[in-house]
Amino acid sequence: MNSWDWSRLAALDLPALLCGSALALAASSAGTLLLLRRQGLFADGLSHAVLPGVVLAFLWTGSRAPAVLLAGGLSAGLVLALATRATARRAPLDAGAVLGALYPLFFAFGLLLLEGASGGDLDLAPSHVLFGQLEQLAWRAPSDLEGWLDPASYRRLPGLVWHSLGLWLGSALWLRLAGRALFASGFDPVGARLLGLRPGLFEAATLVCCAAIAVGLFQVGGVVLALALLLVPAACARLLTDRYRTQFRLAALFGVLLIWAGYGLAVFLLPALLGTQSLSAAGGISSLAGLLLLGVARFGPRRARV
Amino acid sequence: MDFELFWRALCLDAGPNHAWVAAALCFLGAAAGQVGSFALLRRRALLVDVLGHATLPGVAAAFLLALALGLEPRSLAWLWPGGALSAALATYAADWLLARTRLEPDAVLGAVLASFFGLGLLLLSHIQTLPGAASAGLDRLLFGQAAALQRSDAVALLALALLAGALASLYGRRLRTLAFDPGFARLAGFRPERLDRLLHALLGLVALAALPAVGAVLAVALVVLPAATARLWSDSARRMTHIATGLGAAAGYLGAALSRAAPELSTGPLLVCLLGLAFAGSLAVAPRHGLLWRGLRRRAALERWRAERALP
Repeated sequence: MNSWDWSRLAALDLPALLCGSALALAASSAGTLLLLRRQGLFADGLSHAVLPGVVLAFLWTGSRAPAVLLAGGLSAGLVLALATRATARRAPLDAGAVLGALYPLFFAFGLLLLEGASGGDLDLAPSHVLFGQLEQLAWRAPSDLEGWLDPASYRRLPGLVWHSLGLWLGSALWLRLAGRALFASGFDPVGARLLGLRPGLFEAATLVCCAAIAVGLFQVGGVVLALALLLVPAACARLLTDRYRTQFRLAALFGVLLIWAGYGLAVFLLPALLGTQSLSAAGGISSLAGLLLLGVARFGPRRARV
Repeated sequence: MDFELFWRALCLDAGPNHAWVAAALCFLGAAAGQVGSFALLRRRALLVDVLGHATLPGVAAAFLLALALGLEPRSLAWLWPGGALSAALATYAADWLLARTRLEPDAVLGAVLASFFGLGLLLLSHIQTLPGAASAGLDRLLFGQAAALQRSDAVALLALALLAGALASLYGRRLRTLAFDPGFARLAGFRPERLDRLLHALLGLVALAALPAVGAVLAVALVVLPAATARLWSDSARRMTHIATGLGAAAGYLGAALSRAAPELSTGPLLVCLLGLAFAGSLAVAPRHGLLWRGLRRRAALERWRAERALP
């Protein structure tokens, strides 16, 4: 691209960046919670296992409304969590092996449903599941100042943008309300129980929260982006600080930074250098995430194992 | 899906190409099950996932390099070394992060997987925008398409699977010892670090062999599911390896026939769902660890206890 095209910027890049930033904020706090509770494995599991739920919800209702797919993906995530727990308790397999067996199975089942049922007319193609659709969120942006002031034009924003903003607000509210209890039950379950809190309940609620965010990420950015945004910002923050609150803030900062830098890399910088069309934004964001983690591990303080 | 064709494919009567593909998938499944049983005992299930996904950037880069040099870019002779290199880099990065930071292994492996696979997707999205038919066929490597394998590719796959299986048989006893008791393995003079590296290399070989047939994304299931199923049937490590090998071979053979009869479906998901059925069935009815017998034994024990307590 030779010159800045403002209408393109508002029509294509603004919704993508809004959506991505909201999801990154939500995902960074969910990832931090998972990492603090040593449940990083569930980020792997949830990001893959929501697929059959999303596909079944779509096939059953015929609707692609974000809320419908959210309900489907959420139930699949919970089924995975319960199945893993039940199997690991009864079978002679550790939780890692059970999850390693079950989540590819969920994913494969979802892919098979997708390929078998679609016959090509579904616009949720299997490769879509990997690449996501971040760079394809289009908005008929207003062309003049009057349009920008008119609330009606914001109603035309893609549903996924509002959906991700809702997920962010919901998770932020949950964190604000339950922050102290989560902190207590995460570090000291017995003490929390003595105080009259119910750690099991908070754990379940947090898992639901994380699953909802994973579904949102999955719908927008595909499996890889979901995994990268859940794990990497939180891991980087974990290496930089020992304080609970700072860790959440740093993770949020890293998440939004990754979205903007990765999107810029894949959609503006690389195509300009190579002279091609825009590349996969999810791919750009995830590769930058890896570089960020390597950089923090190499140059950051407080990185040693205690 | 064409049932007659499926039946003919099962009897190896669906063209000479199919016989090779079926043999290749059969041995691939066997090697994956065999190596997987060691990986499961050594708790390396997630590493397999990382290795499978991490082949993608190397494969895509090798493809681009071959294209730039004017060579045939889809040949496995190019793609495999590229994939092996990037998988090795991913293992190295994960090891480095684990040694240097306080992050949990789960988090490190997940992050490495996501970043390598993300890089692969970035390169792949570039390849897809290239003009002409040059890029066609590379996205088969994501979910696998066994029915579309050329005979030469099938033979190469067969050879790689045989190599992995032979190495695993040769070192089987040592790998088992290492999984059960690393301390004793060291005392017995086995050098645990080297054996671990061998296990990682074997897993990498299986992931590479799985690439054209099962795909990068689901290679992990081919390795973990037969081994996990076999674990439910036996408490002896040797027998577990044998069961996993046989199960993998059977699933590979069946998967090849299914893929031949339903070419519109990717082979990876098909094969994994087959293995998943076996896992779920075993979880229900396996003699010692299955839910059914467990429940019955538990009920019998309760009854016995009640009867004993009722006595004066």
